[in-house]
Amino acid sequence: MGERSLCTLLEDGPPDVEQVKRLTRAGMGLCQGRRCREQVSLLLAMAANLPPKSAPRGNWRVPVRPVPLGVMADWQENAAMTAGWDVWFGIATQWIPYRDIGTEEEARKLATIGGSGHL
Amino acid sequence: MSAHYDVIVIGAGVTGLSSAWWLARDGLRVLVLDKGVVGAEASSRNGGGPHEWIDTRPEGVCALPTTPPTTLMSRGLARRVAELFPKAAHLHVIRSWAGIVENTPDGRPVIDRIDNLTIATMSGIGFGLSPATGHAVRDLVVDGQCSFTDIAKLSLARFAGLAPDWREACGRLPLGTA
Repeated sequence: MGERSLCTLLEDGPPDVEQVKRLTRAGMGLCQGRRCREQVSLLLAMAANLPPKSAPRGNWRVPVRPVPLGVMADWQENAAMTAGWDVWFGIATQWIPYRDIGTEEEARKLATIGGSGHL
Repeated sequence: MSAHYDVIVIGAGVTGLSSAWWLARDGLRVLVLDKGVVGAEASSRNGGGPHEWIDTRPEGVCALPTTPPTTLMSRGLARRVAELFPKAAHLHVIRSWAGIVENTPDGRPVIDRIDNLTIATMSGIGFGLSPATGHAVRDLVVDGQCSFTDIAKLSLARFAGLAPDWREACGRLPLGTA
């Protein structure tokens, strides 16, 4: 039997994630495929010339599996987080240029920026 | 490995490494120490958006934040990504990281030399400034003053009159305790 590769495997039939897993151990590491599951699927799809949508997906392993962003998203966050999500700490004095520190311009800019850091 | 050093840099974040590079460039024997991984933690990440103030106590920083910010932060970040890029909402979160960025009361760096101790704590804006910070630290250590710009306003002495309740005054209380 000659040397096998992904390409010769694909000549045998449609891409099979479980087969690749048993041959290469991809998806059997510490994180149980959480990081490589999609990549393996896409590599198989590319090699078999399939659209990504129809790439075969491996199984999830218990006890944990990753949560999609849309499920994890906090849709009931508090008001402070809604107001300040786009600012870095919200320390207004951090955004004053060095030359303005201790001058009237600093006071003017702090009054403009306010306490949140929003410009 | 020499048992004697001219300079010991404590903290191998990007500021410490830049300082060490500038000092070693002058031919000084430099030892860099870090309790963790070189160039890791906040020096290897980018962050922003939802954040949390963590209480520091006399015995040190709590191993865990006083409120559950990791959950709040990661859920807040997930929400922003899902809002900004709706097609990404189905993507799986495969790992996350949280770390501590120190902040001075005014959010500005302290770059100062006190006797044989040189301090450079960058207050969360260390990464971009690190090339210049390392240069300034080298100047303070070797020459006693910064050669290329004025850093007098970044002295530690500006906090000499800091009121004990500065955290409350700055709104730096952990969520839920304010």
